[in-house]
Amino acid sequence: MNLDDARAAVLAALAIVAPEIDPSDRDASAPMSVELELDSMDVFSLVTELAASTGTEIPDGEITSNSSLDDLVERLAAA
Amino acid sequence: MSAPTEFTMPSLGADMDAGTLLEWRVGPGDHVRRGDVVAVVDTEKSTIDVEVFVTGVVEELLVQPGTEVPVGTPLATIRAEEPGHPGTVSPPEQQPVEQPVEIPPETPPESAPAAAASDPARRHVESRVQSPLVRHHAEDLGVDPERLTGTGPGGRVTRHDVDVAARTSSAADAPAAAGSSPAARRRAAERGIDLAAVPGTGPGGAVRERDLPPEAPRTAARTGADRSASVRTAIARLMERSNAEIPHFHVVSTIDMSAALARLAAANATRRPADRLLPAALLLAAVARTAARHPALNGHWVDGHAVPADGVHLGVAVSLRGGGLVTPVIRDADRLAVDEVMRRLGDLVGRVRSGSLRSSDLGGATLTVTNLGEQGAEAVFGVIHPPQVALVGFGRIVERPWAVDGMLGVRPLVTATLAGDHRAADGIAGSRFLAALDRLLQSDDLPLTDLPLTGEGGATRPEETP
Repeated sequence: MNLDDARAAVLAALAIVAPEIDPSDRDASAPMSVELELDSMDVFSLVTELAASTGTEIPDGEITSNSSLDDLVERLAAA
Repeated sequence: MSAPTEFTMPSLGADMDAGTLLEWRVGPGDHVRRGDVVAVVDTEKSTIDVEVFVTGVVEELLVQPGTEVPVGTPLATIRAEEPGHPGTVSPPEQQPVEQPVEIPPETPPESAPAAAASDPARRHVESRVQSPLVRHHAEDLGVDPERLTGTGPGGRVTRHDVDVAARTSSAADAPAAAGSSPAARRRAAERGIDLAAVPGTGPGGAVRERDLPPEAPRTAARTGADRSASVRTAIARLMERSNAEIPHFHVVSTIDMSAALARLAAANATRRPADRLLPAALLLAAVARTAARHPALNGHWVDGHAVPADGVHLGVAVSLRGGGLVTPVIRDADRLAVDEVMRRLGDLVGRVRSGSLRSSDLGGATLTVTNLGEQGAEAVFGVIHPPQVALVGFGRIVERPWAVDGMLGVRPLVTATLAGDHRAADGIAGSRFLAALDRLLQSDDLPLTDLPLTGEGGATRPEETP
């Protein structure tokens, strides 16, 4: 998966998990917990949603709420 | 036949004194099953779907939408079906099951409009229309079944009677009042609509429910800043009361999470993302099992006495993104494996965030847990939610130097605190609670799953607590 596809998938998943958050004016390189107010349950839901939408199962612990949206996009693209 | 049961404004959490009825989802004469959503209530914190706790027939709606009433105020009367009647009783812990539409043989449903239902003289009149299917069919066709002469057994109105009436309703035998269906009249009465002014599409120009003008969106549904302010108000009132009434004590313990996190990691390594477990679920499950063995800290302070609770119903503090928090409840959490706690936690967080909590998600907590999570401070000294007598808090799990068997190593540690009501218990009871929690987290005694284990991290299934 290329970076653009990965980013689109991440944004789509975020819109499902936290529809009230608009990521367009947030810093995608800052921790999701700080920048998007996501907690560990939200990140769990994101990873679960991405597994369903893309088929990529990110191993446990590789992405946490301390990771940034960019980290998540890159991890997904690397799969 | 049993007496009507009062359906009252439920207590949807320790911070709720009153609620606003936003909407009825049922009307007089409707058959309801335990677990059905019958009303929508707005509290200061959120809009909540309220479920009914009996199976029976709605008799009378006592409170109009838009009215704020104190907790415990009767909202409606429901004629419960006889115990033992199929579908009547389900154990409280079970989820409502889908059942086919049933025809109550002994309990005549009322299909009268609201005005008539509030007339006591009419309340006990035996209806000749006993089948909800026939009643709905009649409403669809714009026929008032109560006015028909029934040809069925005992003079009951049948579907055929309704069809015949619908075909002839344009004739003069249908008086003026038949120009609207019972459902339309009920809704019109609720909403203060003059039916004479509504063009009908039913037979003979009868006004049907669907002919009524579209309803405005939920009136009192608060949004944005308004909701944040009212959430704050509710929390403020509860916390003020807690600090004014409860002499708090706090005890603190640092717990080595290496063993517990290793169990989780081993389990998660072989699991798909949707089935993985978070440390939060493990901590909640551990607190619940510990609470079951420490009744002095699991219960309520009522009229000057500590009353230990029958089960462990964990209140879980869930933060709202706009600020504030809601504390939905995981019932009988001491009997659940971490798996199930994780599922319930995920469901509750999802419903809190999407504003779709149900009444069964709230109220009745016997002990509350607050977990600051990955971004939190290292410790939280909580404020008890009255009338509960304790609150357990967890800080962020941090890596710190830690001595084990005379050796120093880096370990993941969590600071657990317990706030206790000093009227109900002493610091030593709180200390024992935290020590037991620590031991449980070091052991393999906390079941991760209810399923038979097949090579999941090599863990063996421990005995269930009875």
